Amino acid sequence: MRSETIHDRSPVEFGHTQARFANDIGEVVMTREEIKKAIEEYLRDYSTGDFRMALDKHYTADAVFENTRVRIVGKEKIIDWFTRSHALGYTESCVPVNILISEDSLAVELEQEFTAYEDVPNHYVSALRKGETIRTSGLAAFYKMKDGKISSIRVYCTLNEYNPKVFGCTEATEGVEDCEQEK
Amino acid sequence: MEEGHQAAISPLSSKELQEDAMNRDDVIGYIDLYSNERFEEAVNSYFTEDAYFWNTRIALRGTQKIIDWLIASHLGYREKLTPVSLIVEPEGAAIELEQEFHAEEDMSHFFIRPVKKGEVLKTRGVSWFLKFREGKICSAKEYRLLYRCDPRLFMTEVR
Repeated sequence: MRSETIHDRSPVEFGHTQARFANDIGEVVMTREEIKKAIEEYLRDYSTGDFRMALDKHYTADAVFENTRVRIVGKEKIIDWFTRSHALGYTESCVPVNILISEDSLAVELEQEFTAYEDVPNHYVSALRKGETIRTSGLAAFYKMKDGKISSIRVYCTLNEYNPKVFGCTEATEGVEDCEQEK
Repeated sequence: MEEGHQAAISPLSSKELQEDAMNRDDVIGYIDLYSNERFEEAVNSYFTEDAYFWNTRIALRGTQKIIDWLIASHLGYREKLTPVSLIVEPEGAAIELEQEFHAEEDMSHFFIRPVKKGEVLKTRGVSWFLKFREGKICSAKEYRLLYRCDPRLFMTEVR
């Protein structure tokens, strides 16, 4: 597979919707609008709960996912973890409210909506009762793109909107790098 | 009605907006002042008077409150920030940062974890989302990769 470096050929135009990105031989790879559309489509697909479909479509095979609980290398392991961590009795919907784009990466602030279809006492935001819906604007993610797909995801949160009692490394299992305290 | 609506969105011409917008150097300039503990100069230079400042511990509005909090929250240690990922657009910026904390005294309640005098902590667990207005920061929101910190020490100072 050809490796392409996406970079901005027109810094003056950057920040405007017409800015385009090109590889080293001058071939246009993705426009700014295409990158925005791709991440919006990914988040819609993610929100369906069909992580196999969403990640096969949008992640590179060697993608690295890092959030407040785990660091996972490889699309298949990420799919496994997403599937397991969402099998606790709730659905999750993510809507981007702020998207910033550079030549090979983007940053997104997200609103999340969780709806419980059974009691979820150990939900990582707060305990949920069956039928309950909670919303938060306490999430942000930085993505790196490679070959038109997501190759790196780092998910940050504003902790004061979350339930600190359920954070930690409890969901890290075989195949997933364990969380570490900063030494 | 339509004219009024347009004026409210963009009272300046595109040229004026371009000249008045914060750019990459401004963002780095703010980070440099912050890293040198020149909080008053940093905030007064780069924030609007009514700026909103939200991190994992507090939410504040107004430059003086932000300055006061930054000074008070940095007692006992120095913090050096290094941007490792920076996206700047006309309306805002997103930054991933490395933090280096130098403890100047024993701090059993330091917000990452207890530290001893002379100890240095490094983390790449923080990001900022900035929004700009009239060439300054009108909103600064901080997010964290929590597992790099001690969750028990958070939520103790929500105002």
